Amino acid sequence: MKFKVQIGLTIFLISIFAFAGYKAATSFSLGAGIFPLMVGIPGLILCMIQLVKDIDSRFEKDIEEKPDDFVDVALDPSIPIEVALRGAGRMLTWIIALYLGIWVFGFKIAIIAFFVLYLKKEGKARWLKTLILTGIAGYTIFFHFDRLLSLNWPAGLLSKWIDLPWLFM
Amino acid sequence: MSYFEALAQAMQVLLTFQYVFLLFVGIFVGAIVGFLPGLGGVVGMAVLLPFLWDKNPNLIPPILMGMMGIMRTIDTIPAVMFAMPGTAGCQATVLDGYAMAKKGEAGRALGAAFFSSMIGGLIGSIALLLSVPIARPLIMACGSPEFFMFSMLGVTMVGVLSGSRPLKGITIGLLGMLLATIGGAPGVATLRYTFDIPYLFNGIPLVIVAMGIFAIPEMVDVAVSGDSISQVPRLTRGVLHGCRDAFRHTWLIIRCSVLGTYIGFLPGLGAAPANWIAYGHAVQSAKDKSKFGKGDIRGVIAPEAANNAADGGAIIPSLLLGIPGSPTMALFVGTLMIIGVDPGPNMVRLHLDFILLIAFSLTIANVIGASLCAIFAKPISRITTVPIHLLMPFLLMAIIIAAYQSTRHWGDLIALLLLCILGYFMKLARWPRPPLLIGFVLGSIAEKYLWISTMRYDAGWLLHPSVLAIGAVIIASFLFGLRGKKKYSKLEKS
Repeated sequence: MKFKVQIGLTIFLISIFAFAGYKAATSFSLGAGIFPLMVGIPGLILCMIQLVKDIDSRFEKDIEEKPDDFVDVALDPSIPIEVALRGAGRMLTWIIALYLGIWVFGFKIAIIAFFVLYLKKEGKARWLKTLILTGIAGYTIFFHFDRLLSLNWPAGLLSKWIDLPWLFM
Repeated sequence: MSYFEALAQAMQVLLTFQYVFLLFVGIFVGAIVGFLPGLGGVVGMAVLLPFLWDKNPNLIPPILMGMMGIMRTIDTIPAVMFAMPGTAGCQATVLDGYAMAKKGEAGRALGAAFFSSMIGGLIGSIALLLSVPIARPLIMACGSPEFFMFSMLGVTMVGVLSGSRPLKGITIGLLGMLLATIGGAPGVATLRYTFDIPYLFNGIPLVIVAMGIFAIPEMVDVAVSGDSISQVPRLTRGVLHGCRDAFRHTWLIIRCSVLGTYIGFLPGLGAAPANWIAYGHAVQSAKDKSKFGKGDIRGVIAPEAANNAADGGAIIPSLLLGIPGSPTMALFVGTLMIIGVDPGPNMVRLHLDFILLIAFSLTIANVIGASLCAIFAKPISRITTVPIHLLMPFLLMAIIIAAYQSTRHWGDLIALLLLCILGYFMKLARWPRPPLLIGFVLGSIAEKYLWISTMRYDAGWLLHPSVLAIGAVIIASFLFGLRGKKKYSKLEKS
């Protein structure tokens, strides 16, 4: 599985560099295209070398055994990649659901609903805890971010259809 | 006005009640905008501006410096606790700070960060004071070729951070540079890779890239395990331990602060490149590099000292030459002009007391800011032991709010989601992510200055003595890093 993820990512990067290089060479003037070309061509070559390394079984053992010594926060090694992917898919679904909620209802309503649903479903929190945490979030949004800092929020379709109370505008 | 007269006048203002009150107002606003990822100095200035227009000019420094002083210190908290850089200047802190939080050492990381921030801020303020007679010739000595070479010096850090996988590191660094080319080309009326989507015309904001690549993938990673951010139930090593660690690395703090001040001092660079270059320097100069990225305290100390110092450095050209190096500084210069203080070469002659007041205000704000943060660090660090599923809605809320403030466009949220998927797959496939940020931060700077240099000098700029000197530093740092790596592998084998 890890092997597939590695190959998939390398192919994705190859396509990005190839597209960027092609566009820079064919659609941009010299002034606009020279830097993307300077970046895209070596990127494409390096990605292809990486792909060969990924595919070649001689290197596969090397990839698995060599520990990561580059500077980055490593993945929790105790979690199998299949479990990690499933969990990530689940989280992604929550995020997309929140986005859809924002698109339809607007940020303020969607985030409050998200708090209740997420805390009940994933957090397995009791109703009291759920309500307290949602209350804290609501207070922070409505009074600190909205009134004090006058931040902007994505408006939903709902606000176009009906006149919402000022609190949810 | 003599130096001592100016000093006496500045001290008179410092001791008034109004000054102290406004300093704390600035600190309060700075604490909010610094803590919330993605807001930063521009939002802080925008919030404060309406209150400043009709004020006595002497009351402007405490409120603005109060805000700036704490902002760069408090932005460390979300970076360390949730891998969410509060501002662009603390991206590198995420790498080791968050790794320490996962080990239950959030308090230690925060303590070290606050102590280094304070020293960095003090060195930046001292640089501001000392720079009065020498700033002009120093800035004039640097043109676009030198700025380009400085950005290249930053790019070499990609090699340093990639360990034994330079191929992946360089490829990802190039991807970051490619992402930075989205939008308008410098000096040419061409839009690149925008696909007629208006959101992309100005490029992808840095905060979206940083949060997409780091913050959400880290949150997802913890959510998958279903645990808390701290993988140990009890927090170990607190704030004082962190301060002691920082004290032990005083020489590193001083080096990175000087580096940060100088990078901040160069218009157009600022705190974001400063913290990466300082981080790279810490890795490069360390004998044992194996712990970086896994919770090495030096990885927190170096960028935090540099980003605070960079603020002091950034004020120098804004104040003494009227050249703002960043949007925050542009607003700062604008505010001064509105209240009748014209930044520029005449500042030293006409408003020396004002310059001193700014330097003192920045110093005081740094000390107060770091102390306040240190006091609250212990209770704040306990958040890392809260189960992730109770924290996740708050984190997602903060990320979405921060992301949406970048351009107030739905594109921010979509770009965030796509970059988060890319970041997570990079993590799964073990591709290093920091080079992407370095490439993104320095790519646009490098392209802009390369373009200006070539337009002005053709290829002649390559032979400028200062360009050759910086080139030599780049080669020397590369060779130094290579030698260090060989030495370390020998030690490891033995």
